[in-house]
Amino acid sequence: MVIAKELTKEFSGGKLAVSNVSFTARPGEIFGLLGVNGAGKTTTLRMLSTVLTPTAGSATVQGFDVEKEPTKVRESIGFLSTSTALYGRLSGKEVLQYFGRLYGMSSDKIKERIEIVESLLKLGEFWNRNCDSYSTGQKQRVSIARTILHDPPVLFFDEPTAGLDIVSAQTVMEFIESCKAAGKTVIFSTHIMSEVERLCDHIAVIHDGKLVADGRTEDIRAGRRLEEAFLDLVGYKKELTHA
Amino acid sequence: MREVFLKELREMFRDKRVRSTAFLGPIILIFGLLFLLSTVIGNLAKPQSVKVHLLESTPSAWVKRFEAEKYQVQFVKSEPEGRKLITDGKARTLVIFDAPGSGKVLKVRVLFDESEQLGQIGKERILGVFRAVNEKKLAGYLKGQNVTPEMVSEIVPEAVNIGVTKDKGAGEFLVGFLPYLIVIWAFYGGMSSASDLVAGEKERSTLETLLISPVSRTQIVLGKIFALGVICFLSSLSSLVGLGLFVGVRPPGSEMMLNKGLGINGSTVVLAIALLIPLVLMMASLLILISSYAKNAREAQTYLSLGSFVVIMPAMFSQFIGLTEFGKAAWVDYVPVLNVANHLRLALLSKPDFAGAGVAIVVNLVLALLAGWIAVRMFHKETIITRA
Repeated sequence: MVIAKELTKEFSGGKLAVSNVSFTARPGEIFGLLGVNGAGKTTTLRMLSTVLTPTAGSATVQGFDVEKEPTKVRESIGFLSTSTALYGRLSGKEVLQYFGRLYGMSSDKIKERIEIVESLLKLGEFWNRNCDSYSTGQKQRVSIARTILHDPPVLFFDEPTAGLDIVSAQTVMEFIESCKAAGKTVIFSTHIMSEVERLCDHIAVIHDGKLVADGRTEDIRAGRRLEEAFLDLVGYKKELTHA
Repeated sequence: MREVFLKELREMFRDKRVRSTAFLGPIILIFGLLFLLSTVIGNLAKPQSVKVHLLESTPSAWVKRFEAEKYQVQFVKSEPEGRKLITDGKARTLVIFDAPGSGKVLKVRVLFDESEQLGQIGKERILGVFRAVNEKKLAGYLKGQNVTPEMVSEIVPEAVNIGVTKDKGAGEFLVGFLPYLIVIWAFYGGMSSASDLVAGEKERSTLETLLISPVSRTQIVLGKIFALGVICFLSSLSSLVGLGLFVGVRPPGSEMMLNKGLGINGSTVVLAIALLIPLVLMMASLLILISSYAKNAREAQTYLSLGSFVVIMPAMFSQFIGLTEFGKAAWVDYVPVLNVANHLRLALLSKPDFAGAGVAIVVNLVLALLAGWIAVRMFHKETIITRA
C-alpha cells in the first residue's frame, strides 16, 4: 500500500512542483496518476521512490516512511519508465544479475527469479547479447524483468508506454494487468486516457502540482468519456476555432 | 560497493573507447614519440647528415676538408643564389671564403638563418671546424717555439662527476620524461570513462534506476571511484609498456636516450606504486566529482578538458624541475601531481627521498578523500537527478 499525505515539493528557486497531494493506492488495484506534461506526476513518483525528499508532507510505502526508512522503501518497490534505460555494454542477463545483487538477493534466489522472469517475458532468445543491440521492445521487456526481479509488492510505472510501438506497448499493458492480478500495489502515471480506461480502478488527477480529483474511475468519468472529464478537471477551454 | 565496482570495471573493459584511449593509446603514443625522438637525435648526431653549401670558387683544400669531416658538400654559383636557398629553407648554411686581408688572415663568413634550428646547428658545427683548425695551427706554432700548450695556459679545468648516478640510475632524458608520462596518463586514462560514469548515466537515465535500488549513494560513488582508479592505474602502467616496447625494439638513436639504462629496481617499483595509488585515487575522485556536476557526457568532457590543465601544468613543470633549485624544496611535496612526479624522478636518479614521498602520499590521500567526500555529498543532493 502507498499512502501520500499532503506531499509537497518545492525546488530551489521557489518552483512549487507538487503541492499538498494526498492519496492512497491499495494492493490489488491499479492507481492511475493523471496529468499533462509538467503537472507533477514524475516528481510525486520520485518522492515516493525516495529519489527526491518532500519539502512538506509525508508518505509511506508498505508502511515504511519515505524519509525515515528509504532503504526499506526502495527494497519494496519496482520502478519502470521509458526513460529508465539499460546498460548498453552488459547483456540483459548480466543486467538482471547485477540488479539482483544490488537488491541483496542470494545467487540461488537470483537464478530462480531469472528463470521465472525469463519464461514470463520470453527473454531467452536475445538476452545474452549486449543491450545496445536490442530493439525498443526487447529493451522494454528486459526493463520489466529488472523491475520485478526482486518481486516487489509495490510497482511504479511512469509513462511506461511513451515512445513504444503498439506491440511493445501491449506487452507493457498486459504486464501491468498481471501485476494487479498478483495482488501488487500499482501506481500508473500517464496522460494517455485510453490506457487509464483499460487499466485503472482508481485515479488521481494532478494539475499544476495540485490534486484536482481523486476517486474511482467510474466516479471521475461521471458518465462522460474520461478524456472529456479530464479536460474539464484541468480547466481546458477550447481556444481554436475553424476560420 | 563491490557490485558497483565490478559492474563498472566490466563495462569499461568492454568499451572500445576505453581500451583504445586508456590502454592502447599510451602504448602507441609513447612508443611513437620515443621512436620519433630517437630518430631525430640519431640524425643530429651523424656528421654526414649535415649539409654545407659552398661557392664554386671555394679553394679545393677546404672542400676536401669538409668532405673529410663527412659533410654533404653542395655548390652554388654565387652568394645571392646561396642566400636565396637559405631563405627558402633549401640550404642550412653557406660558407664564403673572402680574399685574405692585409694581415693575411683568412676571412670566412658562415651565412645562416637564425629562425631555422637546423641552420643554427649547422652554423655551430662549421664554426667548430674552423676552431679546430685554429687550435691545430696554434699548437703547431707553439711546438716550433718549444712551448707546450699547458705552458701558456693559466688554468686547466677538469669536471669530475662524483654523483651516485654516475654508474646507476636512468639517463637524463628518462629522468625528465618518465615521471611525466606516469602522472599524465593517470589522469588522461580515466577521462573518457569518467564522463560516462556519472554524467553519461544521467543522460541515459540509468542513474535513476541505480538510485532507486537499495544500495546507498555513498556505496555507488565509492564503487565508481575505485573502478575508475583501476583504469587510471592501468593506463599509467600502459605508458610504461610503451616505454618497455621502445627499450625492447631499440631503434637507431635510442642508445643516446638509454645510455644509462632505465634506472628501475625493486625499491623504485615499490615506491612508484606507493606513490601512484593515492594519485590515481585522487584523480579518480576528481574525475567523478566533475562528472557528477555535469548535466551530460558532453558537458562533462568540456569540464574535464579544462580540468586537465590543472594536471598538465605541474606535470610539465616536473620535466624541468631538475633545472631549478626546487627539486628538493619541501613545498614541492605538498603540490599534487608535481610531488609524485618529483619523487619518481628522484627514485630514477637512485636518490629516493622516503620521508618526502611519505608526505606526498599523505597529501594525495587527503585530497582523494576530500574530492571523494565532495562527490558523495553531490550524489546525496537532488540536483544529481534534477540537473540532468
